[in-house]
Amino acid sequence: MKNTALLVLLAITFSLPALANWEIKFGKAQNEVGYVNPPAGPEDFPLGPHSFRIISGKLWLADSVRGRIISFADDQSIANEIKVPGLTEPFFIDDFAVQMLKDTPVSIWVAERFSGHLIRISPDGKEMARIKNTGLAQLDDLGVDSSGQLYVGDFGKSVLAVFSSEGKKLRQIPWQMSGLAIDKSDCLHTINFNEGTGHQHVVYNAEGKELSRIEIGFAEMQNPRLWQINELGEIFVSFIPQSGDPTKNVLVTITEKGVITNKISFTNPYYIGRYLMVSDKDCYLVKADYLNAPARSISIAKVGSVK
Amino acid sequence: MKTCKKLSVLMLLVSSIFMVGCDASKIMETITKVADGIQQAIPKIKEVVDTVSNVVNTVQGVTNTANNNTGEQNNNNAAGTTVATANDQEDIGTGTAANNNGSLTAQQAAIGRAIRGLVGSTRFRGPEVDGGNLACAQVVSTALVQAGALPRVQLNCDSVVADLRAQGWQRVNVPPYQEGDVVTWTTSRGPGRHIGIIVKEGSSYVAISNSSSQRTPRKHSINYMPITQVLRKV
Repeated sequence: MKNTALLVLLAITFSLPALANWEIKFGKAQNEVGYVNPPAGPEDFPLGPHSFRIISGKLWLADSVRGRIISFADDQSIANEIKVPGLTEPFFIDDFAVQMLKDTPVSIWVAERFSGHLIRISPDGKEMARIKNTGLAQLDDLGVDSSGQLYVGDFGKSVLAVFSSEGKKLRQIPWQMSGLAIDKSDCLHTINFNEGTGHQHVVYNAEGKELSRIEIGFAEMQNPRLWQINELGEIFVSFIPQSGDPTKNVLVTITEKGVITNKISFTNPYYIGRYLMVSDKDCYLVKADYLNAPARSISIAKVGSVK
Repeated sequence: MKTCKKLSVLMLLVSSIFMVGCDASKIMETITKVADGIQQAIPKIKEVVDTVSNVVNTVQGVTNTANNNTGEQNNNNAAGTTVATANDQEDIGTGTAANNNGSLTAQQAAIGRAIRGLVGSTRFRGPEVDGGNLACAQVVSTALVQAGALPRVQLNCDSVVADLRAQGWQRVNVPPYQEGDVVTWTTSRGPGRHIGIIVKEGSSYVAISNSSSQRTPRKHSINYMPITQVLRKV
C-alpha cells in the first residue's frame, strides 16, 4: 500500500513540470519578480507583473513593481533586464510595447501608472523620449510600429491615441476598450461594435486613414479584445460568450477576410492587465494569483493551439 | 492494488519520457481540454441544481426576511468569481432589465452618464475619505445622487448598499449585466469591501470604481477582482 502511494506521488510529481512552460517566482533575486501583497490601499488589489508578451518566441514581461522589463531565454533564465530610467516612487508599469527590427528589439515604450508618463527606452535602458502630458486618463494598452510610433488605449476616456516616436501627439480616435495590434506593414488593427451589425475589424494605416472595416458579426458576444496579429494577418480576439459570464472567455482566430478558423476557451486571471499571448502556433495564458504571493509562483502555460 | 501499481509505473514511465525531452504538448493539450470540459460542465450542473432548488422553494412557499448581509460571499464558480445564486438570497431579482424591451431605463442611463463623468476626477480626496484612499463609496454614491437614484452621499460600502435596498434595489443574478448596476467586490479586507458601477462601452461591460493608490475613479474590467454581489433597481 505504502509503495503504491509512493509510486503515485512520484508519478504526479514528475508529471507536473511538463505542464507549465514558464515558471516565475516572486522575490528580490534577479530572476524573480516583485509583488505587493497585501495591497497598498484598502480598495486596491494585490500587484505583480501586469503585462506579459511573447515576442519572437521569447517571453517578455513587465516587472511592474520593480520597474523593469525582462525577457527570458529558452532555459527560463533572464536573457535581458531593462530597468526603466527616471522612475520615482510610487511607480507601477501598466503595459509595455517593444519596437522590433526583425528579431531585434530597437526600443521599448513603457506606461507608468502614477506619473502618467509614457517612456521610450533603448534596449540598454537609456531614455529616448518621455511624454509627460498625454492628455489621457489611463494608459492601459500599448502598441508600437516598426518606426517607434506609439498607440495608447485609454480605458478612462475610451480613446486610442497615437504618438510619434519622439513623443508628439498625432491624433486620437474613439475606442471601445477593445484591444489593438500593429501588423508588419505598420497598420493599426482594432475592433468596433455597432448595435445593428455586430463587431467589425477596423484597419488604419500609419497616417490614420481607415483602410478597411470588415464585418465579423458575433453580435451576441461581449467584451472583445484584440490581443495580437500574426504574419498572415490573422487577428486573435477574445470575447465573453453570450452567457455574459466575464470569467468565461473564448479566443478566436479571424482571417483577413473575417473568417473564424479557431476557438480556444480560457478563464482569465485576476489583477493582471495583459495575460494572453499567441506565439507562432500556440496560445499561452498567465496563471497567477497575486493574492497568494509570494507563496505561489506565476506559470505561463499553453492553453491551446491557434492553428 | 496490483493494477494500481502497474498504472503508477506506467505513469512514471510516461513522465520520464517527458523529462527526456519528448513532445509533451499533445498530452498537455488533452489535459487542458479535459479540464476545460469539466470547467464548462460546472455552470450547467449549477444551473440544474439552482432550478431544482427554485422549484422546491416555490412549492414550499418559502419567504425569507430581508437579508442585509452585504458582505457575504456567495457561490464560487470555477474561476473563483462570486455571483448571486437564486437559492441563497431571498431578494434576488431575475437579472432581466427593469423595463420590458431590454433598453436602458432613464435612471440607468443617468447613472452611467454620472459615473463616466467622474473618471479621472480629483474631487474625492478629502479628509473624510483619507485623501482618496477610501473613496469608493463616496464616488459611487455621488454618481447615484447625481442620477437621482440615492438621496445622499455615503462614505462606506455597506451604507451605500443599505440605501440602495431602501430605494428598492435588489441583488440580481448576473450575467447579464446592465449599465448602472452597482457591484461590490471581495478585497483582501473581505467580501463587499469595494464598490463600483457597471457601464457599457460598445459591446463591453466594464466597471468604474475608485482606486486607492491613484485616488481617482478608474475604468476597468468587471472581474478584475472577485465579485461579491450585484445590485439593480428591479
